[in-house]
Amino acid sequence: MGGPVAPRVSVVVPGRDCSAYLGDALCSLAGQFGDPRALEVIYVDDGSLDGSAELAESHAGEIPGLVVLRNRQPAGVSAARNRGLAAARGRLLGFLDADDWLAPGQVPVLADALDRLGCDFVRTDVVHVTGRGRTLVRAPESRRGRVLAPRESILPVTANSMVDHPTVAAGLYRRELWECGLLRFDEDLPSAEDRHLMWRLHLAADSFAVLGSPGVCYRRGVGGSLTQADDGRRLGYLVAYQRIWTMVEHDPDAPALAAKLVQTVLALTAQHLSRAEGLSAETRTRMVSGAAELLARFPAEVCRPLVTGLDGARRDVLSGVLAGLPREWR
Amino acid sequence: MTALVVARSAAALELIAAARTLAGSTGPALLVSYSTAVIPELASPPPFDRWLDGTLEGVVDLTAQLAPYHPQEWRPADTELPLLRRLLSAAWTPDVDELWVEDLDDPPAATLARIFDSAPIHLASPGLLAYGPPGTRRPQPVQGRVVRTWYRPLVPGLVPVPAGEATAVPLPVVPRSARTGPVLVLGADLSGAGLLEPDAEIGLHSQLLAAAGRQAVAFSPHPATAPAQRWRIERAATAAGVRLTTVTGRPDALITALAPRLVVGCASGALLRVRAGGNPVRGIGAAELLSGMSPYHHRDRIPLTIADAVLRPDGGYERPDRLQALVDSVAYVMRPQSAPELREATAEFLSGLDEPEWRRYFRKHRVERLGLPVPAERAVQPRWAAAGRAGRPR
Repeated sequence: MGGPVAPRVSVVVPGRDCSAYLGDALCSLAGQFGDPRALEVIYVDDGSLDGSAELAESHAGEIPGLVVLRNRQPAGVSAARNRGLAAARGRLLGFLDADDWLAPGQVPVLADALDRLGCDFVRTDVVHVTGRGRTLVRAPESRRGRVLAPRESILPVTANSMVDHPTVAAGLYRRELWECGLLRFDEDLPSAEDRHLMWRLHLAADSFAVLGSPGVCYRRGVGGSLTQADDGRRLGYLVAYQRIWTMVEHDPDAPALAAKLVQTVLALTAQHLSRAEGLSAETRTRMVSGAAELLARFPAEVCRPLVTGLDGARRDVLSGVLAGLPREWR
Repeated sequence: MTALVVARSAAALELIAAARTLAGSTGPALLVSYSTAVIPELASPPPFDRWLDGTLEGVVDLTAQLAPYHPQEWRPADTELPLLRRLLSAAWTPDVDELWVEDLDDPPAATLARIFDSAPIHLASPGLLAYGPPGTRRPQPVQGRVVRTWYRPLVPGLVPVPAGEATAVPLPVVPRSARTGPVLVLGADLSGAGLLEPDAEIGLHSQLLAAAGRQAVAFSPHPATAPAQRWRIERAATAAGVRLTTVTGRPDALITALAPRLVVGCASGALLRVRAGGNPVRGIGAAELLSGMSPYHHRDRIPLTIADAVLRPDGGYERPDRLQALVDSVAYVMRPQSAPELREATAEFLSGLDEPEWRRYFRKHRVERLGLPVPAERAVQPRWAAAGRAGRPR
């Protein structure tokens, strides 16, 4: 493991029952820097039952700088990442999900950019992969390679912005963000913890930059695929956006930010309700009532125009939610 | 005037270098390398450097040029081709006068053939795929430019189907093992080829690794096998008590370095090449892959058929003419339009097979549709089958 000199970068990899793909994630990190001491890889095993932790340990010789932490009981991806962050010694911090991988050279590119630009964090594009098929999902910020104010990338309301690009692995973050409490995952959120983090960073960090560098490969069709038995976790976004609203309620920009939040809640709810796989009846009911309840917390003058402005198709999908809103809003 | 050599494997590059010499193609050449691994970012790059000083002027890493998209998905519209030809001629080399390709059915080689649309094409496939018909019908503007097909004589006396302008390029001397070392197991990328699901691929590798019994095993994973899959294979074998060491390198180099007492593999040309050097080999799993292969005309059928027939413990295909008859018949049933002249010989071969043998290599429905003899029909309608007419009699 590392000596007295802190590694340049620590990458936290949370995983649970991920032995099918863990080797890809960890091996893709292994060769990132020419000097193996530059990178620390912290695999946090979140209560796996398939031997993922043992698998990582048995191949530790292939991954310089590997640290394996184990949660005996599953504590959730937020807690696993936070545990990894607490143990990390790197000046710069990154993440990778256990079923994804990085292209060679990705971490040095981000680390060099972060050092050169001197900003708090950098974000990148992502490649979505299904077999040999790839789709480039661009970070929704067209101004690239220069230092920007994070707040300016929260709007617009009706188009994707950086807070709609939640892949935490598509980025690199200064250690100071962890030390001041910004780079931290909300452990009460079973899902959308990444969206919540992005909002917090874009509200409170000083500076950031967006790079091309599409070297983060997100493996579609695995991991996060919830069965109907445990799909209650999908409701996490409702809590996440409620907490974000609490953060911005008394913010000078509250009206505009509220509009963005309302629009996002409507969009995500519509997305969940029209999923091909379908939700369990209980989750569907809780989602419809929970979304209506959440939307009712926003100022009426913000919510009403966005609700009445919904197009026909989305109205249909959200009809149950709209029925739960104050009559004068619809 | 420069040749473009489009290859993904060291074996292909070695074959192309030898074939070019035989063809008298002595001008400068540029290597365009590409990966067919499902995850190119995680695959080991082939050792192309050693060819650079002699035969080749330079290497273009096409995988890197096309990233983050996959080279095998590079299918530009026809409207892009003139621009691509001009840009690549400027960036790579002007005046591409020949294409030497390892494969012509898939991107990126198929795409480069469309881009450099006046260059004659040499197809040099180093493995068993060279023995069978192409996977799909090639567009005539490409097929019409193939001037020669080159192959390795991996099985003495066996020639590709359809017979024609295929030229054998003798193998370089394959090292003969001193047989004092471990069992060498050559891994295969069956999930990448679409032949097995990843879980089943682990099961097959476990069989390969268990074939060593209690001997020490040197496991050479296929370069396209992703690390996660390799970790699972290694874990399964270790849990089953296999004394395993993972090694890297080409089979020839491993034979020299490790002096294996036996080389075990699934059904690869590499295994037959090792065998051609006089080394003891064992093939495992080809018969099962054949029975599960779908559709019937999957282009890996010929490679698996050859490997199974040559390596099966109960033998039966030692005579080259019998093996050729099998390969010809399978190729005909796969794609009758690629070699219509083989119909009569196929009918004759099929009628001489007993049912277990028949079932091992053929499918009833497929053969019936072609009006060829099926074992059950033989006893009932021998004259009907010999006449070769489609359909059953009323």
